[in-house]
Amino acid sequence: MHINRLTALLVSLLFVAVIVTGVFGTSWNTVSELPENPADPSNIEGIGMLIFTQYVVPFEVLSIVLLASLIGAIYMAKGEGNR
Amino acid sequence: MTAIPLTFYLGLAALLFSIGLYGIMTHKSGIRMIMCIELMLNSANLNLVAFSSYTDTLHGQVFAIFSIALAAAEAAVGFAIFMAIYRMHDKINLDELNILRW
Amino acid sequence: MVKTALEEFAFLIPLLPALAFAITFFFGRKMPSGGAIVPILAIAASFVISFMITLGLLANPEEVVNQSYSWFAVLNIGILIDPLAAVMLSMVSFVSLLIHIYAVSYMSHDPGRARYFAETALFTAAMLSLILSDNILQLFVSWELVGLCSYLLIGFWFEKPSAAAAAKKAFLTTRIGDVMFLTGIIVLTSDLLKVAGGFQEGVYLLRFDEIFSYIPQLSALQLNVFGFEISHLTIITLLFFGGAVGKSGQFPLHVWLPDAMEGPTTVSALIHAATMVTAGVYLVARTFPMFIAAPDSLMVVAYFGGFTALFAGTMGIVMNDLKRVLAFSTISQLGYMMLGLGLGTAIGLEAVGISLFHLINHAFFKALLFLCAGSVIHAVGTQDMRELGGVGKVMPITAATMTIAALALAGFGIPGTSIGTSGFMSKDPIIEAAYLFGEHSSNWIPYIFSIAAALLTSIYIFRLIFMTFTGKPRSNYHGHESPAIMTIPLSILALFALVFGAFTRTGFMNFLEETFANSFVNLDIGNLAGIGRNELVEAGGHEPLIVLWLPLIVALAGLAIAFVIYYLRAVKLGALASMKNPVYRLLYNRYYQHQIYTEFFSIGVVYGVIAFLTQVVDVIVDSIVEGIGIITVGVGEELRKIQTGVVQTYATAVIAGVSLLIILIKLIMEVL
Repeated sequence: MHINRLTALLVSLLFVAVIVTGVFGTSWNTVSELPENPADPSNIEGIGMLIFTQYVVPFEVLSIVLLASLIGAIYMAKGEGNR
Repeated sequence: MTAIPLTFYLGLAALLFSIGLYGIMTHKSGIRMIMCIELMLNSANLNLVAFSSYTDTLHGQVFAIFSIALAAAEAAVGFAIFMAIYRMHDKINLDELNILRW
Repeated sequence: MVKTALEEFAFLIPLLPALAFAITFFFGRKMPSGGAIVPILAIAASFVISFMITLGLLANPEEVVNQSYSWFAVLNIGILIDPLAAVMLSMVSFVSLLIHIYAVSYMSHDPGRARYFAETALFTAAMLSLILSDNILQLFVSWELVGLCSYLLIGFWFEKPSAAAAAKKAFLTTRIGDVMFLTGIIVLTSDLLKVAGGFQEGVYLLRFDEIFSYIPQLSALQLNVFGFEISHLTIITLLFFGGAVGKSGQFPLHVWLPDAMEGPTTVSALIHAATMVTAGVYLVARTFPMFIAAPDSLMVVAYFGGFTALFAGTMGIVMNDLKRVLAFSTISQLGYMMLGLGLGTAIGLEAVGISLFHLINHAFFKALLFLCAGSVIHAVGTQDMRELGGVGKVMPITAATMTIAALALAGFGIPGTSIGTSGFMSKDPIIEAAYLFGEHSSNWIPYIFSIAAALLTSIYIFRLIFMTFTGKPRSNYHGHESPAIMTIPLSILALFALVFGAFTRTGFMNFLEETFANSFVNLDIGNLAGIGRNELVEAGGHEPLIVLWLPLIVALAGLAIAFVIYYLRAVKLGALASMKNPVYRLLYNRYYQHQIYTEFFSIGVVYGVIAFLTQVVDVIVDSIVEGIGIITVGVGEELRKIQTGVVQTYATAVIAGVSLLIILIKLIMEVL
């Protein structure tokens, strides 16, 4: 069964309308201006520090997930016929 | 300098998400659907990075990196599944794969 | 009212055996000899408490034990130990205790003995709680519990089809009586609400003192049936008597009692002596003021009792199964008790005394008879009297005690003195009361019934003794005397069967006269009898000498007949006791009760009606059920097409749903 384009368009527009109304109607509890750090505009160092200190366990888990999906993908894509 | 408000980023993310949604709803090809899913995932990443910047912490950006890695894994597995399906059916039109219904 | 410390423990009387049930039921298998020690100790404690309370009451019969607690609405739970309950409690716990001790040996080879001891403990607990109920509803609850336990115990060897059938028969037959009893309680409650003017706080409407205080008003309520004015009290009491008929095995609901032999012999002893069949007699005795105030009720009780005594006796003389003879003997003796109560129409409150006295004495000698029979069966391995004979040589103690029990059952004693077995001391007053009644109202039927039943009693019990214990063995068996743990309870019971009646006769009667005149209820029985239009006669004692001696004469005649036929074998009964003789055939087939009750009534009528109703119901219910099924399937057939199996459809539905939900919540929050 196929969703016709008009229905899909209507649902998408409804969704975007709801979300955008929600976004613009909310007062976000954040800094109002984008913070600037002229001395070091890059934050790669900070991200690296976080990954290897606080988030080291999720990082390791992620590496295992990637390995597993790699093996799985190779196995499935290879198929049984041409091993 | 007048910075772009946070809500603009969120609105852009919502727009991206809806485009991906529209794509999923209308397309039959598995490859296109995976591309649309990537679009939706990236709109979520955009949200993460935007909030991360506007709250002056880096945690959101770390999560965005994780989620990009997971998206890669998901795409790899997804394409592998489609290859298996293609071998069985000679096409990857998902709306014809309805043997599990009823 | 001075509260002694002992009364505070009255609630333990039924509670201890109930706890013993729980302990034995769950842990008995791991204990030595099936955990028998737990119920024995519990029942011994119950007996000690009951006996102490009885002694206290004997000293001061006015001060009965009564504790009532509110249950809900106008109902209460409570304890009432008046002279009537006290003697019953002591007897039940005592006999049950001896039977439990005996059963340690009797059941020693049975793998299910933990279950046996648990169930007998519950049986005893239920009976004890029945006795000390102070209101009719609690009595009914315990009554049902007794019925359940009898079902479990009769079907103790449930792997035997005959035992399972007997258990079912006992349960279903007593159920007829139970339904009548419950109907009686319902009628009584609605009438009480009518005469008492609805619910009142703090008044326990179904407590016996409240019921008794409303007797005149209840009696005034009339119901018109086919032009006859019938007092509500008569209806209620007859319904109660219907319950008693079922429980106490009176005609026509006695059919379950002989079949109840399928359980272990100790269970038969419990059922017949202590814990079950006496409940019906106790119910009538407990509500005796209602019976005496209701016109005609006691006459019905007397006729049913007298007829049952005779009817069961005729069947008793042809049975060949040891235990069945005793079963019919029990029915017959229960008939005597009912007859005794029914004679209250002439002798007033004394009827409770003589009936309960016979109940207690009967409990001793009937328990003894059953335990002796169990001893024989345990040792010899058969219960068919035609295969026995000469057992007296190998089992002297059993033979001696059983002979004592037989003498007590037949009622041997010297009239006019206090020398005699307990059966004599209690059965003769009933027969004399029947004579008094006959003299008073020129209605000799109860007297004739009771004398004829006495003759039959003597014949069948000595037939049993002679066939079992004397003569030469008629089959190969290897008997041996039972161990001491079995013979000691036998000896104790034999002692009681022999002398209990002689020692306690007058004291017992006077004690029970206090049942309805004390701090709990204080009733003028003569006045109540006037309400029921029963004319009481003045105290007896003017009977001609022949009346006093006749019971003994017929007992001796019965002994002589049994001696001639079954010991000397002087008279050949071949022609008489054969299937060609229609009377013998009728008796041997127990008046074709099985054919009438089971095959005609149960299978023919009840099954037929049920089968017809089933077909009717099938058509109606089936069309409803199948209609629901067809509708469900049809709706499902259409609705499942929503499930396309295509991912996009689901995704669209989810997104649209979420969006609409958010809008909805937003709108609701706006409104609020």
